[in-house]
Amino acid sequence: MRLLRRLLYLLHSRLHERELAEELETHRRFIEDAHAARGDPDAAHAARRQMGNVTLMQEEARAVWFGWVDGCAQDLRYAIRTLRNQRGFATLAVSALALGSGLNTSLFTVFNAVALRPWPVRDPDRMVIALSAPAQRPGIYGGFSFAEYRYLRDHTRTFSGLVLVRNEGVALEPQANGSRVSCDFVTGNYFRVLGIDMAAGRGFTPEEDRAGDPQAVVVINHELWQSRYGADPNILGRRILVDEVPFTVVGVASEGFAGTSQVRHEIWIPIAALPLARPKDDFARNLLVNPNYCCSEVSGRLAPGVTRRQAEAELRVLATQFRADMKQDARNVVLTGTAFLQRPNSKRKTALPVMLLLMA
Amino acid sequence: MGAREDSSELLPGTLDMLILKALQRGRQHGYGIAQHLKQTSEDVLQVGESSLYPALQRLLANGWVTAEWGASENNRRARYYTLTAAGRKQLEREQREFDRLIFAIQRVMRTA
Repeated sequence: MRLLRRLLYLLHSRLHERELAEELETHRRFIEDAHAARGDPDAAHAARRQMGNVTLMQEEARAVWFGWVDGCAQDLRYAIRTLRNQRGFATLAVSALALGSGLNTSLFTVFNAVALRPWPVRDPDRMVIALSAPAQRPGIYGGFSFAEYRYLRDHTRTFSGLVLVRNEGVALEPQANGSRVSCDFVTGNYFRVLGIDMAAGRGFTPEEDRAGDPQAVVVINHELWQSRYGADPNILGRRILVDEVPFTVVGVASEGFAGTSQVRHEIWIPIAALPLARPKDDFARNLLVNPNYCCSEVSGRLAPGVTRRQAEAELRVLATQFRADMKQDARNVVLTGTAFLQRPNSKRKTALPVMLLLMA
Repeated sequence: MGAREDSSELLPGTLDMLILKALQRGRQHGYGIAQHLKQTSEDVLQVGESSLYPALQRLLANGWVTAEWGASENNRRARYYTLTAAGRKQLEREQREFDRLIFAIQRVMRTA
């Protein structure tokens, strides 16, 4: 109630000032009358002398109501006056504040893009990443060998699709400046499982994903089609050179899709065709068959109605069987969501600064 | 400003109490209050306007009095103050406190 009264007073503060002045004038007149009644010849002068400083009184009266507000207002006026006279300082201060708040905003935007968003695929909450986890902590989380992946894929009932991805840099149509593009070597079901639409053509077929009979086919991303190939209407069937090996374009991914990692990918090639792109590389050949040649990223779409926990338990069992068969050390399997921040620590620690750097 | 007792020498809050008491008899303007205090105390309590009007503002701010403009004796426009119900209660409270205080001071002064 008191605050309300004070607020109302503030609204009419000028009126109140006038009223107080009038009140004081009346008071003075009374004093004058009293002097005059006593026969004082100089009543008016005596009265004025008897009264104190009117302005001071008004100040004190106002202070009763709004001492603190006056103080603040005064400080503010002084601050503005001072800053007006020191434009250089003022500019610096304002810039610092703007940068500070702006920086926070932009940092969060980056963070949000890098760390918090799930994959840009269909129903991303049904997608999980599988990690090969240490049997005991602490340890290193890693990917899977192709052989292990195949075993899991062939025996799983909790996944509607499991994909494997291996990323490598390749030289596309050898550039004079030696620049490379990012290529994802993927299993044939990649586009289907992730639910990526095609702007032109198609993803890969099962025939293109056979280790024994690889096909030199490639899918390019939308931006590459527009920029490098000038939105060529006859892009499908066109042959492009990947590390000087000709590959046939069979599809263009829909606009905006550039893979699922934080780095943009320009092309996709079936992993079965990895040896084609790397004819002299033994590693590429062994990767597809030898369980000791590790490690690539495995992810998958949970089958309808299956929980992450159930899928994780199943994969654990399968992985244990496989490793026992292959006489490899036992490891666990961990499933995580696709947002970057959901992955366990050892992968995060080194990768996050690198990613922030790449995003900058 | 003349030989007047400044209210700052009174115990804090005493002036408020005196003004509230003065208004107990009915509404009065500022000059009238000061006159009443002076006459009733036989010239001991002479309150200057520099203390009186801020005190009146204080009483207004706390809702213990209300004020309205009216015509005085000799038809001058003056602001009249009236005690509110809350003001009456406050007067009682302050009177009790004051009595307690005075009694305490007296006891101290009486010992030897």
